[in-house]
Amino acid sequence: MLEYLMPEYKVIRDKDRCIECGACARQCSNEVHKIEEDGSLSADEVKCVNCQRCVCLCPTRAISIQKYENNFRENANWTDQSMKEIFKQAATGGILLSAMGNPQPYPIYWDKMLLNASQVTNPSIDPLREPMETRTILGRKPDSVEFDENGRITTEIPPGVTIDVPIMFSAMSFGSISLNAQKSLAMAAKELNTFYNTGEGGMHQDLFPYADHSIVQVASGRFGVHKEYLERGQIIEIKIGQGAKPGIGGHLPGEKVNSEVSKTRMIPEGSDAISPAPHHDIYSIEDLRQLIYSLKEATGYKKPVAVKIAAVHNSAAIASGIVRAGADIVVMDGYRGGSGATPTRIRDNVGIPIELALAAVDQRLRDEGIRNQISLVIAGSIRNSADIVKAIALGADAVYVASAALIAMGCHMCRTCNTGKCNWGIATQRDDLVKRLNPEIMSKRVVNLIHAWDHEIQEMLGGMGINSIDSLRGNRLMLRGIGLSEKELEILGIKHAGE
Amino acid sequence: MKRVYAVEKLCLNCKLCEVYCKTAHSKSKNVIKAYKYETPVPESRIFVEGDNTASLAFSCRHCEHPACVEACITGAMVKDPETGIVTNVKERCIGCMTCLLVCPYGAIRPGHIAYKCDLCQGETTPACVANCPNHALVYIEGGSEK
Amino acid sequence: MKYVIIGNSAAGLSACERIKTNDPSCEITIVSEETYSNYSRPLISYYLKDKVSKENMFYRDEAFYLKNNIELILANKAVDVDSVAKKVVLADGTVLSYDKLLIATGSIPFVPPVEGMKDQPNIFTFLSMKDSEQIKAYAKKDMKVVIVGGGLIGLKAAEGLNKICSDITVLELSDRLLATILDKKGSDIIGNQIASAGVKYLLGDTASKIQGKDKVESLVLKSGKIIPCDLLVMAVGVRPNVELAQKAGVTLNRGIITNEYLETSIKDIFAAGDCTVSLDVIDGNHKILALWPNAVFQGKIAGENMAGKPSLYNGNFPMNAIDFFGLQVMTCGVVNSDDDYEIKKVETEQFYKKFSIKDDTLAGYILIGVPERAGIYNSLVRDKTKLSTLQGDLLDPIGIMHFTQEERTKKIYGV
Repeated sequence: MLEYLMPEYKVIRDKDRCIECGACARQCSNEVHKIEEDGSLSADEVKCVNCQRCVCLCPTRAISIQKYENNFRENANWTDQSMKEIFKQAATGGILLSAMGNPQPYPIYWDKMLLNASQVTNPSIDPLREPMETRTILGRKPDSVEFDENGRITTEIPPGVTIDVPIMFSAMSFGSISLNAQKSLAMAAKELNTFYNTGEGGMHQDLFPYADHSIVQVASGRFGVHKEYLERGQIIEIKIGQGAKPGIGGHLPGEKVNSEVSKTRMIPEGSDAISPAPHHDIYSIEDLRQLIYSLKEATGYKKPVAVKIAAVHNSAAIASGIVRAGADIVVMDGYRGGSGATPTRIRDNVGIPIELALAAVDQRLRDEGIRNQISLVIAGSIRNSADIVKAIALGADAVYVASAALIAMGCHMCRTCNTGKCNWGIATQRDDLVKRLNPEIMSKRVVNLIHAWDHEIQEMLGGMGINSIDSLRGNRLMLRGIGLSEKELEILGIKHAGE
Repeated sequence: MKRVYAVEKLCLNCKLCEVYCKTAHSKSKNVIKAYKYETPVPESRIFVEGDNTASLAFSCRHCEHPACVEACITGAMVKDPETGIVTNVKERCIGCMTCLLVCPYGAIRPGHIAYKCDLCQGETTPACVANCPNHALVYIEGGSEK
Repeated sequence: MKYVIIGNSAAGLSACERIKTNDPSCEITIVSEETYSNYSRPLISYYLKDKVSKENMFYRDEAFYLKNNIELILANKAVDVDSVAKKVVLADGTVLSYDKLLIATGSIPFVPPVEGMKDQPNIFTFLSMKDSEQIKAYAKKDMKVVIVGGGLIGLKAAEGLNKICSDITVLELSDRLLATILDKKGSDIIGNQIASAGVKYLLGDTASKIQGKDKVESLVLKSGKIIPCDLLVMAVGVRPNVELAQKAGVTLNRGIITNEYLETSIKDIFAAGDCTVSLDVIDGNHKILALWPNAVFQGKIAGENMAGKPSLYNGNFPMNAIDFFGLQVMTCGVVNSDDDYEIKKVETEQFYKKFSIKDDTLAGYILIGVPERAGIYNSLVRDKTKLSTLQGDLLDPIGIMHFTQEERTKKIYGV
C-alpha cells in the first residue's frame, strides 16, 4: 500500500521520565498511545492531532509533540500543504473539512494599529484610584430624548441590555460543543454579568437557570426555536451568516446528534442537522424586516433583536439595510471566526478581516446618520484585551469572544472539532469525553480571563486619559496605523503613526 | 472527621490519584524516583476501577466501627481516637490479611504487610485529592450523597 | 459495678474495652491461668519460626491495664463459681466477688488417647505460648518431627517447625488436608505447596500406637507403617474449655449456650469466644466458631450487655485468612457441598477460586493465591446480597464496580 500521507506530528516520549502509568493511553480519544503487554507505552503517530492532552496530563512531563520533519522538495508555489491536500482529496473524493478559524498568514490588522497614551496635556487616569466605566448598554438608541418638567424622561426608550464588560460569549451551539462547555460559559456569563449565546442548537434545560444571561439564536435551520425559547433569552439574534463560512449553512453530523441534542434541537435522533444557506423565508431585506418584527411581536417588543452577518465585501451596505429593517443590534463576524466544522476552502478564502469591515460599517452608518440606532458588536478572533480596545476605538460597542474562551477551557487549537473526539471535552458529545470538562473549574478559568482583560482594558483606557467605554467608542483619533498602505489607512479611517 | 469522597460523574479514569498516592508514600516523594529507583516500589492505597465510560476511585472509608480493627490479630490496626484515621502500625503488622478478609469495601491491599489509605496522616490535603485534574475527589466532613 | 472476666485473650480483652467505654468508673478484674500477659494466639507459629519476637507477641500492651484501671491476675486458674453468692474462687484460694461475670476461657487442645501415650516429654500440643516455647526449646535440626492432625493448627505447627527441623511428616486421618475449610482441589493445592517446602504428609492415616518408654521413639500408624519420631505434636483439634462453666452450672452443649445477648442460662454470667456455641448464619446451625475475629466480636457484645447497653449478637460465620508457606488462602462458609449448591469456579496456574451459591446468594468461597478484596465477597455472604443484582461476572476480580451505581454511592457515602 502506498502511503501518501505521513503523520504530521511525532510523539516524543522521554523514557527516563516515563513511569508507565498509562494515563496518556487512557486519555487519548484518538487512540494514539497504547499500553503494550509488558507495560511499556508506545505511540501510533499517524492518529495524533496535537491536542496536547497527554502532554498536559503526564505526571512527569515525559511527552512532547513535535513536527514530523519530512520535507518535500522546496517549492514556494507547490507547498507541502497544497500537495497534501491534493493527496487527501485524491483518496477520498470529498471536500476538505476543518474546524476553528482561518489559520492562513493573512495580515492581522489589530497588530498593525497602535494606541495612544496621555502624556502632558489631558493627563492619564489611574484605574485603581478613579472610577472606570467598562459597562455598556446594547440596543437601539433614540435620535433624541425629551424630558418633562420634573426632569423625567418622556421619550420611550427601546429595550436594551446592560453588560458589565464590553465582552460577550459568541454563539456556539449545543451539538457542536458539549453541554458542559456551554454550562461553563453560561456560569461565567452570570458571574460576569454579561451574556452567552446559545447558538443555533436551541437551549438545553440545564441552562434554564442562566436564561437571564442568554442570547438565543434563530438560525436558518430554526433548530430549537419555540415560544418559550424566545421568551427565555434576553436578546434574540437572527443569524444570517458567520465568519468561518459565509454564504453557506451549517452541518452537524448525525453521530453528534444524541438524545439530548435531538431533544434540544427538536429533530430526530441520529439525523444530520443541516442548516440551509439562506433562511428560506428571507430573500430580501423586506423579508428580514418581517422576521425581525415577527420576533418582536412574539416577545412583546421587550427584547432587542440582533442580526448577525459575516463580514463580506458589501458589509457596509448590508449593515445599513439591517439598521433600516428594524434591528437593534448588528453583529459582524470576520473571516477569522471559528466553527465546529466548515469546508476548508470557504474558511480560508471567503470573507474579509473584521477590522476593515468594522471601520467601513461604522463610518457608513455615521455618514447616513443612523449609527445610534443600533449597537455594533463584532467577532472574528479577538485574542487579547488590546484587540478589544482597538475594536471599540474603531467603532464597536462590544465584542464577542468564542475561541479565546475555549482556549481558557483547555482547547489547544488542534482544529479537529469536526471529528467529535475533542480530548478536552469541548467539541464532543461522547459522555466519556464530556465529563472531562468540569464546569466548576472551567467557568472559573473563563471568569479569570475576562476579569484579567477587563483590568487591562481599564489600564489602557486610563493610559489614554479616558475613563469610560463610551468615550472610546469610535474614537479613531486614539489609533495610529503602522506599516499600512494609504488605502488601508483610509478604510480604517486612522492616521499613520508619526502623523 | 474529614474523609475522601469520590464523585463518580467527574472521574476520568486517568489514575493520576494512584500515581500521586504511590509518590506520597515513597521514600523520595518524587514521582520518577519513586517509580523507577525505589525498592520495593511503593503501593497505591486508592484504587481506580471501571473504564473510560464509568470509573471510580475508591479508598478506605475510615469507618466509625472498623471491621479491620476488630479483626486484627496483633492489634496493629488501630483507629486514632483524635483524628479518627484508621491505620496499621507497620512494625506490628505481620501480613496475615485477616483485615483484608473482613473489610466490606475491599479497601485493603495485600503485600508484605497490609496496605491501606492513611489520609496522608491527616497532615495536609491528601495527595489524591490535591492532584485530581478534574476535582473528582473531595476532602470534606460528613459527606452526603449529592 | 464489679466485673470479673475469666480469660485474658481476644474475647476477654475486647469485653474489657467495651465495659470501660460504657461504665468508665467500674472495677474490672481479669483472671488468667497463663503466666504470660496477653498475647495474640495466632502468632505462636510466627514466634516458633522467629518471625515475631517475644516482646512483640502482645495483643494489648502493658499500658492497657494501667490506662483502663484493670486489675490483672496472672498464673492463677479460676476453679469454681458460686452463682448464688456471686463469687469466683481461684486456685490459690483467692475469692473474688462479682456483679457481672464473663467466662472467656477459650479452647483447649483435644488430645485423643493413643495407646502408649504416657506423659513422654517429647509429646506437645500447639495452642498456647507455653506450647510454642516448649517446642522451640526442645526442637533440634536433625529431629524427625511427626504432627498428628492436618488441620489449621497442625499445618501452622509444621510451618513453624520447618524453620528448625528438616524432616517433618503430617498425618491426616481424613482424605484431605484442612478438611474443615477446603475442598479436595484446594487441599491438593496446599498439599503441593507444603510438599515443595519439604514437608511430607500422609492422608487417611494417623498414629495408632506410640512406641518408646522414656520418650517417644517411633509410631505405629493405622496403615501399619512404622515411622521414627523424635518430636510428636498432637494437633487433632480443639474443644471448648468449659471446666469452669460446668462448675458454675450453666447449660452446655459441648460449648456454653447463651441467648442472643450472650448471657448464659444463669443471670449475670455471660460467655464469649471459643468456649461458646455460636449461630452460623449461613446454614442456620449452632456450632463452635473458634475464630479470632468472632471472639473479638462476641467479647465486644458481651461487654456492652454486661455494662447495661443491650446489644444483639446475631451470629457469625466461619471465615479464615491464612498463608501457608507463602500461599495466601481465604475461605468462608460452605466450601464442600457441591451437590447442594451451585458451584462457580476457575483454576489457573496462579490461583484457584470457588464459589458456593444457593438461592442467588453467596454461601461460601475459597480463594487461593488471589486474596485481593476478599472482604467484598465476605460482605456478600454477610449481607445475603442477591447476586443477580450485581453487574459483571463473579469470577472476575471483584470490585466496587460490580455493584450498581446506587449501591456504590451508598458505600462511599454511608459510613
